[in-house]
Amino acid sequence: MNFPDALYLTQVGFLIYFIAIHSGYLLLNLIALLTMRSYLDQHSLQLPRAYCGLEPPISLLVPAYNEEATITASIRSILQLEYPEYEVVVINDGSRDTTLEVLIAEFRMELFPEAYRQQLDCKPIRGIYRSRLFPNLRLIDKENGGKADALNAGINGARYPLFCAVDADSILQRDSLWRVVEPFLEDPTVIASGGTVRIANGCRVEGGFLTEVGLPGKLLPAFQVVEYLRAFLFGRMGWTALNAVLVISGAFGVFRRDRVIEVGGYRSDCTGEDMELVVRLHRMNRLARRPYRICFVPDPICWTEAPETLKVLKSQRIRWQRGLSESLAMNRGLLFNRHGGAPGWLAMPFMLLFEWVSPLIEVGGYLFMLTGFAFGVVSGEVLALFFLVALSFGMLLSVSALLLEEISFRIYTKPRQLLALLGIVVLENFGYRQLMTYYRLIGLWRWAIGSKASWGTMTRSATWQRNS
Amino acid sequence: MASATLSDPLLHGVLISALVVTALTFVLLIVIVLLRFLFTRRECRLRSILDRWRPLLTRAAAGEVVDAPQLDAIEGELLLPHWNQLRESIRGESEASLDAFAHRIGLEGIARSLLASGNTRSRLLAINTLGHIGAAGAFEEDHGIERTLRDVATLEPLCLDNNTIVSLAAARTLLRLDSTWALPRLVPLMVQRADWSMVRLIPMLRAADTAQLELVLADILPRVEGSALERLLLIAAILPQDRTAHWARMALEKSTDEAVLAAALRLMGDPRDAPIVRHYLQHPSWQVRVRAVTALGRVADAEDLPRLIAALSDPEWWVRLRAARALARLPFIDHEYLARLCETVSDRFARDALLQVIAEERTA
Repeated sequence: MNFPDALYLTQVGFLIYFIAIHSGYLLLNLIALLTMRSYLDQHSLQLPRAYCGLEPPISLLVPAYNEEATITASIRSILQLEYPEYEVVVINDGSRDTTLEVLIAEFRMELFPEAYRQQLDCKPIRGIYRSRLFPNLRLIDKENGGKADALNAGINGARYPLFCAVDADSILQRDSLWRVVEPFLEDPTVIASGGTVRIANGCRVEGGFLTEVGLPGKLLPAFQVVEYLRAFLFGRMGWTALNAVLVISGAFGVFRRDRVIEVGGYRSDCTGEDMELVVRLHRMNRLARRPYRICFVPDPICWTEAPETLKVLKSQRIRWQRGLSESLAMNRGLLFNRHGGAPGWLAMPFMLLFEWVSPLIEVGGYLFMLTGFAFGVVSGEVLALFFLVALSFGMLLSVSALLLEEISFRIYTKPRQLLALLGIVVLENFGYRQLMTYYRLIGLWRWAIGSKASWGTMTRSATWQRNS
Repeated sequence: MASATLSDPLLHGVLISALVVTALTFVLLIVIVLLRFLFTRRECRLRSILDRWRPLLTRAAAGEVVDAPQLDAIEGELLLPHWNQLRESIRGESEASLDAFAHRIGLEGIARSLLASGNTRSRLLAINTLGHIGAAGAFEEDHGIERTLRDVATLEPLCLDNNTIVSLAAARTLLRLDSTWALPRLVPLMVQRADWSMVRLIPMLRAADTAQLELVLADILPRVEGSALERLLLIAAILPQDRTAHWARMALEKSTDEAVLAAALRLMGDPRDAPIVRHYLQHPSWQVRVRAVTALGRVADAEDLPRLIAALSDPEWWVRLRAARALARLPFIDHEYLARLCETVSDRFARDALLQVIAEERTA
């Protein structure tokens, strides 16, 4: 092959890749559309829930590290969830501030001689407390080991067959547990169920619960509203239909405790421990050829604050890309495995091609086209075509996600909110998506060179928690 | 070729697809705006319907005789969810008043017409509505019994529907309309359909006649095994323990399925069954052992103390904890005994379980 041919193929290659990646997501949206109609039909009528004593009780695991300012409000709102039987297990992961003292004082915690079962490895436990005010509230105090380690400690201490990993700053709805546990009631093979996470910025929160949905006032979190719809909601809905959803958000997901213990719990040597666990559950159940299902509940039942500054957003996206890379690498045995099913033959290759390596190809494409044009090896026509493809397909994807939202939950009911979203759908393709791709490339690079991961600092405004 | 141009057929194709995609994007944007317009219009219409009917429904629920026109099909379909919500939130005489009002304004006919719809949501609404209105019983002046029988005939096949939620809703409605008729037909289905969660079934059955439920379960018992037998035993837990103990004995005799054994042991509460329960304390499955230990706590006498103490050293945590709890609740055991036991027992895990239970009893 000579240089001109290589140039030609490179240009065509980038164009085809951009078309392919967006077409893949459009196909997922189409599957999500078909699945959504059926889901909405069947769940539109909320039949009354009379407690019968056979509902699966749930252990809510709330890892906490340096949360002295917000932990009280978080736990108080979690204790108001409506569900027949659940316990709240707060795991103080060696906080250096007064998180432990605050919990002990606010909830009248006292040391309890609990028979602790060490089924998963974790850092040493310093003490287990029970609340004298709330019989279903417990606290595990341990040495610092990270979120995954804290969750493992919580799983060890959990009493119930299902556990729900909840971020301390997640805002739930009163019936969130009912919604996320429904797949377990309908299908005994379900081993994990994830809730949809929506952006809380701009919403009104009272008493720890969302009372009014709003759009963020700032552009950066507003972009993330559309991004969450596009990438995290309808994409996952599509994969659920194929039993190939590879991520359940760490902010809110329910798992069968015994199946998680069987596969070894959360890995603490991994940045994206939530995704890695789900991929491992797929891998080990597929290879063992055990019937199982991992579901995703599309109802908006969990809300979280999105980063409002570029610095924090960058740190988050770098961490996510690292987590993706680690999860795929650690479970590469599933890829194209004979027994891999949809996760091994569809979802993982999709993730590899369109999530993992895509930052490299996308940034490479932009650089190649722009540099090539500057040096005269890429024509103006091809450059324009490249941008037309990138923007048109990108916008179609975002608009299709908005269409799905309009058909399904329509949580932004005010006309001006819809107009704002329509504007964002167009605007995000002019810089925001490209910037996120660049951050993901940094994450990929850092994973590749094996640099030490850190969570950075999520600067949260979380005024609703301070005002509760 | 140093650089591709749009005269290249491949790139020309890419251009066409990009332009089509751009056009499609604009079309979808228009569709979104249109959908929102239609939704807003529907919401306005719904609001005006509710503004008109809400006060009437509230007065009807309060027992007033309310004069109201017949609903048309569109109004009725919009009003149905709200009528159902209100209906689910009231109790007592208000239920009958609201049901009679719904019949007078034609809501029943609208629900029946929706039953034939292919749409799951509409069918669910219809099934639920008929369950309420039909259960109001005899509107003798309107041939209420015949109408109820007709609804029953329409709903019965829906219980066999592959759609779990539709079939469950139909079963629930049939139990409301005529539980005497429905129980013998539905309970065999409940026992067989693994997709009908016990969490949904138990509240439905709690409202049924326990004597009839007992007869139906007794009739099915000899013919089931495996998971169906387990489900039957879980349902049987609704009935008084003295009525079901012999079923548990029968199940323990004929089955080796762990889930069945565990479900049967849940029903054990007669001290005369202690020898049977003891047999399962060493079962290989911890789920069976945990039920055995819990059951032993209900039927034990003084000679079972060593067995419960031995269970404190079981390899499975849950068995140890349940053994400790069973010990703590024995009527002839007091806290001092438990405290002394805690000091004398050599197994660390046994001691942990006892300490926890002692602390639980102290704070209870």
